[in-house]
Amino acid sequence: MSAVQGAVARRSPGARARLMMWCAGTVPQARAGGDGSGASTPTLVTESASALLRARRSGLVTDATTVFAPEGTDGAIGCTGSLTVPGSELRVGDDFYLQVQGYSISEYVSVVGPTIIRIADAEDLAAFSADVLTAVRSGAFPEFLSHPLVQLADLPALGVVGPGAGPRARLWLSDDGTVAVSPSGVPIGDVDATLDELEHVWRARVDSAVTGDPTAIAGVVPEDVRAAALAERPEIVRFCRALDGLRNLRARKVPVPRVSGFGGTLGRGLEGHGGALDQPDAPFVAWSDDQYFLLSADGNRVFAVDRATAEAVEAVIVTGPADQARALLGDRAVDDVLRLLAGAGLAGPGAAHLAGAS
Amino acid sequence: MSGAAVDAPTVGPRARAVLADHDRLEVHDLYSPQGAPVYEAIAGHDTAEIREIVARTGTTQGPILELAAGAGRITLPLLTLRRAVVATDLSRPMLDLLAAKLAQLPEPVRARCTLVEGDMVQLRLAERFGAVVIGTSSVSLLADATARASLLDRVRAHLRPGGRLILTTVEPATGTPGGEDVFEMDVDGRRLAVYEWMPPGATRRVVTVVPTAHEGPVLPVLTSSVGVVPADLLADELAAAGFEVVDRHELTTGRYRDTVLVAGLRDPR
Repeated sequence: MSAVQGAVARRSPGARARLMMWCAGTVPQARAGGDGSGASTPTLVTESASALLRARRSGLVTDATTVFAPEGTDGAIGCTGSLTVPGSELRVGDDFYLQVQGYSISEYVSVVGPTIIRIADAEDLAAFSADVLTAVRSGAFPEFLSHPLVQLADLPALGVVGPGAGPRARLWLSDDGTVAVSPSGVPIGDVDATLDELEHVWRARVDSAVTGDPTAIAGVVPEDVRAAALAERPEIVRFCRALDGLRNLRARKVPVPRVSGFGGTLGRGLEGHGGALDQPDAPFVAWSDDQYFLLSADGNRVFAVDRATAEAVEAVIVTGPADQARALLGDRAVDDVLRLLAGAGLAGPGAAHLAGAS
Repeated sequence: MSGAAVDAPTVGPRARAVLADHDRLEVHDLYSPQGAPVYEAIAGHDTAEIREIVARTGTTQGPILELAAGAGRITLPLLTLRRAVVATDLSRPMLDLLAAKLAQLPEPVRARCTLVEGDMVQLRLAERFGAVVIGTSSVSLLADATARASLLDRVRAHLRPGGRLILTTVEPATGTPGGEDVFEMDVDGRRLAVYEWMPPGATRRVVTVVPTAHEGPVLPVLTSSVGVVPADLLADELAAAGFEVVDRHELTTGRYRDTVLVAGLRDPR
């Protein structure tokens, strides 16, 4: 790594984590920028040094932009290999290797290190959708997807649009100077556009889509196919959020956790309430053997609790409005749960119905 | 067959000690109908070569011919390349297992796969392929160099100009002494012990599989003896058969070294 690149890397602590978040198109809630973009500075990835030069000259890329570019590119974190081709490997610096895999093959190969799994075509999307259905019905999540070293790419295309999804957080710059939010995406502008302009175009497309980001994988999956898949499988967002929590638990050596709503619930009497699969911003209840956990919606915070608490929280989450939960549990139990969730910061804006105590 | 009557050279010392505790054994080949599910589980225990085989096959074009496909350990990953795959095997039970797996896949994936029962050294298909794949060290299933030469002749006949042969072979890792390894695995609700034995200087690897807990008068035993074809020898045989090795990748896991060889025809017909 050159001295310049080394200096860039040292000014960008957590470059690896930033790259993983860039690939995913999400950032943990705690890292979300004040402008809602999800990043304190934008991240741009390119395999073209010449296109990067044009982007610097136009002002699209500034000193505040974190750039990943081919090894030897000044002012960038040097990379060797590719992020775009499933089956390839990207080396960042001297000691970080990121595997890139297509979704379909991932169940057949073992995880050998940090891995990005891409939806590389319509067949991959179909396989992913089938796995979501399996998880909903049986509670079984694909083992490779919940591995702590694995990240599913382009989550905004799967309906998870939040901090980290748009051009203020992530940019892909092609050799022809066009700009997208992902190597699998379609252009939303070019090097001569400003970030505001790119954000405006991207936001308009997202707002006009039925759900999710219609640009992020449109280069590999037709938009009508993507939209139909998400419409058929509305649990996808909850599934993706649950994956983050599962990775967190597996990193803590919790064996084969179950997640409430997928294949059933921990407590009884909750049948017919949908398992909170339509509440992507609600916290999760998970369990394994005799261990019980509450997880934030983004899966990044974990609280170990006893079974009674887990069941009570689950009932409040699943039954929705607090009065239904009260009928099931009683006022005191529900108030305890709501205080617990509020105190733990688990009743966020997307789960406002969990924030009100009587 | 009694445990005491098991031929000493055919199993390793640790497996022999287990068998000697039983008066009666029922012995089947690991590749028999009785052994097929267990063989599949054992082969599936190791996924290291799959990534390498698929990556190298992915650099080729056109339909893929897989020889000694077995129950599809490599066939199914090859199908993720979105290309037609013809999967052949001598074992009907293995192909039946593969067919059952294919039946679980979406129709577009199933439709890309054709199963052919037959001997890979006598294969005669009308089609030529962009890649011929022989994984799981299946080349070592053949008896000798003459059989391997026949195999390479069949590969040559089925390879398109510019096509590639991708094959793997396993041998003891350099510097490791011969010996016997044992690991346990669950197959269809049964806990099995798998003994892999290769004495120092031997040219064959012996696998013996027995249940870890068994009640009853007859102990079921699965066994196989597989020749070891060193990668250097295989490379020489490829050259003699008119191939040129264009890529070689080694994976060392424990006692053994798995080598992936990629070869093309020096003189495409």
